[in-house]
Amino acid sequence: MNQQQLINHLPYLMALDNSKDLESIGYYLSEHLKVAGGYWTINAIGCLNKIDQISEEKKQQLSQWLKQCQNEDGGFGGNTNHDSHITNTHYAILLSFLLGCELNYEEAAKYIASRQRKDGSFEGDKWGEVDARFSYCGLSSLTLLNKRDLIDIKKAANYIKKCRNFDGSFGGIPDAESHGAYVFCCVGTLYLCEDLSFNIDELAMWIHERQTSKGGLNGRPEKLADVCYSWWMYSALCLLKREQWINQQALENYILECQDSDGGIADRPNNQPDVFHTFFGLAALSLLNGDKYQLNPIDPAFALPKSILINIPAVNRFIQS
Amino acid sequence: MMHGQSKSKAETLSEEEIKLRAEKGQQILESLDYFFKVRKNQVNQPEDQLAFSELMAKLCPEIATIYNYRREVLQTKFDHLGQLLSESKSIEAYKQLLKLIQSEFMLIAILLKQHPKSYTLWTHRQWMVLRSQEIDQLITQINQDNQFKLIEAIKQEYELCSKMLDRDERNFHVWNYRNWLSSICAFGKEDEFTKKKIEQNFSNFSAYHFRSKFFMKNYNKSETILERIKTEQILGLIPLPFSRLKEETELIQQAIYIQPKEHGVYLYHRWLVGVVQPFGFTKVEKVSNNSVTVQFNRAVSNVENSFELFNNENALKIMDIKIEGTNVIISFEDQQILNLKIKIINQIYQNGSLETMVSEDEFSKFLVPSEINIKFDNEGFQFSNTIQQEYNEAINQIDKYLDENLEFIKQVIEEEKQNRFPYIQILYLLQFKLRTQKLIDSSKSKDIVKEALQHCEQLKKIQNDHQAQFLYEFWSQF
Repeated sequence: MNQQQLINHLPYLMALDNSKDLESIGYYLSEHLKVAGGYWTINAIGCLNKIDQISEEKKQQLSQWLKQCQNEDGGFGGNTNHDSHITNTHYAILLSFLLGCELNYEEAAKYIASRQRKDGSFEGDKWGEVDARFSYCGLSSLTLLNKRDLIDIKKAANYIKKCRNFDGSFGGIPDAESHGAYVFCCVGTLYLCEDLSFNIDELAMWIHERQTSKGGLNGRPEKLADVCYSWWMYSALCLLKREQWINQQALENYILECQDSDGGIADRPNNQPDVFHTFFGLAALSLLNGDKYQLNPIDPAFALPKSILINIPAVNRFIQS
Repeated sequence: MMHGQSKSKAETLSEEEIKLRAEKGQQILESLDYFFKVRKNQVNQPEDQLAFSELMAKLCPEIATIYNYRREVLQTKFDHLGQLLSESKSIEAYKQLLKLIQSEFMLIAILLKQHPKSYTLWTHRQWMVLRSQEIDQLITQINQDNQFKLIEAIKQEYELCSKMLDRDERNFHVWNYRNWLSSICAFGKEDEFTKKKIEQNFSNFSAYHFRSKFFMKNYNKSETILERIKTEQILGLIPLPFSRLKEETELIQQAIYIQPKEHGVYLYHRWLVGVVQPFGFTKVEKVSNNSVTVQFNRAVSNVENSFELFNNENALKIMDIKIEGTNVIISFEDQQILNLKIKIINQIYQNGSLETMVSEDEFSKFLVPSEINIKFDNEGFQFSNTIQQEYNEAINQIDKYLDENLEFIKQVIEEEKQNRFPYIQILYLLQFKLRTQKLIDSSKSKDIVKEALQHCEQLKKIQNDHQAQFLYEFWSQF
């Protein structure tokens, strides 16, 4: 399918709630991803500048449900009743900003801060898994909540630098292979730590070499391209002011090719769309050429609409014009 | 989120099938509902909590809360049995502990077969290894004939990793888990294992990646590095002896020859050739009564302790060191300069290394030690640089090694004229060559830059390569 236009994805997104998805087993098995799913869905609608098309009633309903996802320890689970985890806590905070509702941010901030270890790394939850994704969640959430003083920023940055590899890129933990998604987590964390003292050109070269002949980006050498990497790595290039280091037009074309004629964006052309790839496809397009597609400007560090971040003084110095 | 779901394969379901799916879905939701009630103690605990959580895990393998619950149950049992064991040396308790551990590892292995990339499952397995370690220690303390043998259990974990990598050689969860195991119980053999994976498939980038980590850790141990530097004349951030490096280079050249269209092999080759680069002084830019600016063959950092200054053989106190790219500006007390001498110190030779060299930031500590003499005359100043003979020999060896690799890539370019990778590669290698050339005979630098620009031109013609423009601009500054 040769697509050069942006399809209207609003009906697809609005319909995600209804019974059509109940036919899929995937829907039930992803019951624990409701908070994340909420963030991807509403933020995608936000990219299209159509959050106002969600009824007040629906927003209230979502806000009520979201509040119920907060546990006694201050953290959020992926859905009501689920145990707390830093990723879901981060998603919940982002979603609350999109919905314009208030959560118990004090307790959430304490939960997140308590996840930082002595070596600067962050755990996902009390069971101890460590990963750069959690560092990013920690830095992003606490910056948004103006609670950076609760953690050791310098140590957080030093841990991430240990994730750097011989090829100039970043993995998820020290010694892990370089990976496109972790580039976002590591660069995002270092950016928010205000410490980009690593060889940026080397990383930009590595990202450049991720672009495949069809224009899409792959996550690692010899792997297939995937639309979500458009966001993970292009946003990093924006933060590093190296946007020109990939062929932007080719990447745009690839994202458009991944659209489904019935709405939604898939991981690659002619595959099934899903909300995750729809959001990241739209977000990347917004960064690449938001004006052309009339998409709401999104911030590459926080992955939230700039229009929302403008109202948060604490994050001003991190927002690029 | 779903990856790799082909749309053409999406089924159109009959009404009957839709009904069945909805029913199954309802069952899942009801089971989860019950699970959460159990979790919150809103209903009685099932008699067999482990069996119950196993059912839930098999039903919804991705729900972390289920494993959290299971771990709580397991921990309670471990604690209880551990206490029985400590107090009464109960054989029964001992047997139950072993059985619990074994069946848990088996359960996770079964689930991993279906979900090999699940963070949740790998975290749970890691947790089990740590608990096994604790239990093993407890058993040994009690002086029981410890048939558990943690080492055997870890060996089986390595086996599991091997099997899973046979199925998917790029699964980073497996590689990371295997790497983590070595911190519990190192079996070594990483050299053999990564080499085997490479020989199975020359484009297995994960194997090259872990090979690079293995070299950095095993050859850069601080105890041996000082000795190795003196005997092997190491001049760069070299992770292994020069002879070994050349062997490894031959291996990767073979890989490039066999799979020239793969990207990963060029990355590894580039790294190997790049780590051996000598880092040294090229010229004196400026001198005044209170400062001297020296230039190096590449951008500098961490050189605060790399210099000693003398004016007419009297030691000068260094007031400040400022770095501007390849230039270092050393400030000293204002005075009349008669005869300035600068000693460049290789911090590693001088001070040894406290940590393993894993970061490029450490590069500058490997400066080629030399002595610069600056004399003044009516026209200004003249400088001369003296490098010890062994280091000069080492630099020349590296230069030769670079030439061999340049020749090799040129051959690849001949075979692969429309492939951008060898062109990008030769530009990297020429950059290394330029840096080395500046230490040997800087008059030849222009030829290298000219050659690089020619390759940039070629690169531009291939596939409208975007990077060519930057590389062109980069080389044009020379």
